[in-house]
Amino acid sequence: MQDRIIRLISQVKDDATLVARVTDSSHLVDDVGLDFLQLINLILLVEEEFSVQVDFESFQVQHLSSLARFTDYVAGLPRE
Amino acid sequence: MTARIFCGTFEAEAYWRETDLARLPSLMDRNASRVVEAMDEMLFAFCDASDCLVTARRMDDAHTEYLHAIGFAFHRNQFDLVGSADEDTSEAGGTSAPSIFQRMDDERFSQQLAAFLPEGARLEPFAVLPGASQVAQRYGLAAAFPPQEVIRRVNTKGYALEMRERLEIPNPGVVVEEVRSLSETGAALLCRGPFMVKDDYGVSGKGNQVIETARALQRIVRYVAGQVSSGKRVRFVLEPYLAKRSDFSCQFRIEEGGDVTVISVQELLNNGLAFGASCSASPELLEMLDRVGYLNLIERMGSLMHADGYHGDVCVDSMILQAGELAPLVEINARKSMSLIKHAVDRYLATYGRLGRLSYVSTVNHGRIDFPGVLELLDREELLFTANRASGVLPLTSRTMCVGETARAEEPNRGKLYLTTVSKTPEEHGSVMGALERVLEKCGVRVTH
Repeated sequence: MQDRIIRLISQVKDDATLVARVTDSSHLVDDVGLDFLQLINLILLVEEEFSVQVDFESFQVQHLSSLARFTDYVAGLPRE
Repeated sequence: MTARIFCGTFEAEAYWRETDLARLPSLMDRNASRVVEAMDEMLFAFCDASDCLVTARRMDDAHTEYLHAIGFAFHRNQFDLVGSADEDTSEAGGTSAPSIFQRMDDERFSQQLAAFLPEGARLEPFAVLPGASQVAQRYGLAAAFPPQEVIRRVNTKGYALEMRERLEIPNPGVVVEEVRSLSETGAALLCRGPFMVKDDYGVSGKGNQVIETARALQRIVRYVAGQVSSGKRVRFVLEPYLAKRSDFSCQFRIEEGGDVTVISVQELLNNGLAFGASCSASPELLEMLDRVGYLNLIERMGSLMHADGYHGDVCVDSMILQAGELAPLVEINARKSMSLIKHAVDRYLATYGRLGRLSYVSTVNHGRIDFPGVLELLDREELLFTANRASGVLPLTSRTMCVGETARAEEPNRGKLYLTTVSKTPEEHGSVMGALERVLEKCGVRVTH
């Protein structure tokens, strides 16, 4: 799942080098540089890729503190 | 000369927006809202020696001393207009933080403000939000603002579409007011390529969504439909997502009597859909705009806005498309703007024969930032702009870097430093930014990308 999320991040950022640079501990805002519009785009892509639905109202920015934490969050979402 | 009072809330659209409108998906980010609130410090750039700057939080003393030392003279409030910590909570995508006018109208600060604000001075806000006239009345300030319903109207994306029609320029946008039309019009646009959904009161970096797939459109439709079923109203602008070569903006002022004065044209280096940097328009761009009659169009736009009851500041966003075609009217912001601040700093720098570029760096650090220490180190490294230095950094804000310090101790502090890089040539900008990053690193502040 993590590799697929990295590919989606790279797609949102339009930066192929991210595939090799993003690690478990990368902060999605501080290290990857996703802004909030890009994060919404990433979430929409993640929803599509994994058939899940994110609740935007309750989404915590702490889920973005590392790729591993974001992956765990996505993995914990119920499949549609 | 009449003294002026500068103050402002930069997330103006959130205060004009009707509360019963459905929203696009957004994420709650209280920290980002606190950064935006502290951007009011930048309004010092408009001040003359007799003017007053009112900021929600008292400006940093060392920063103010520096600005005074390099020639920006202004009076500022020596007290916070912030009460308990629960005041600055924000909802997802919206805001419940008080605007500067709600703060200035708060009984707790009225005595100090009454002593600080010279009676008869003219109120010059960044944006004329609800409560501006009330504040002017309370403190005996001069103000002549258009009615709020006019200000609201001219700031909507729907009004920009109407304006394109009236100016007889291409208008690829359409307003949708039902979930069904969002879905159907969206699907039709998607057949021709990606398109944008814009909140009627969206600003760059917030309230706009690019839709590239049918699945993403369905998700947005579902999200909006959920809000409609709980009583919200639909009003979005849909338009093709146009591949652009560059962004620029034009700042102008409409006088109460209807005269329109073009102030400046600034090129924008945006990060996607959000503000990145503002720099002076190149001679090539100005020559092209002159050739196609862009400024005449701006003057006609100003006259039409005046006929609709508006007067005051305006910033129009424009762009040049990939094929070289001009899109003269992307959005209308009937308020002051970052580019107008840039222009004000430029006027100051011109006296030294220097060029400026307004931008920011996103920062992260642990613990408290020693802002006076940052200024001191910038100075020691000969990077802090002063009259006798050819290039350097002119920090425009300080509190925007420190907003997270009051939040949870275990979380790092995330902020932004707004600044002007000063140089003799545009090429020097990159090296100045690199040097700034190294100085901040020495102060324990990491610049994030």
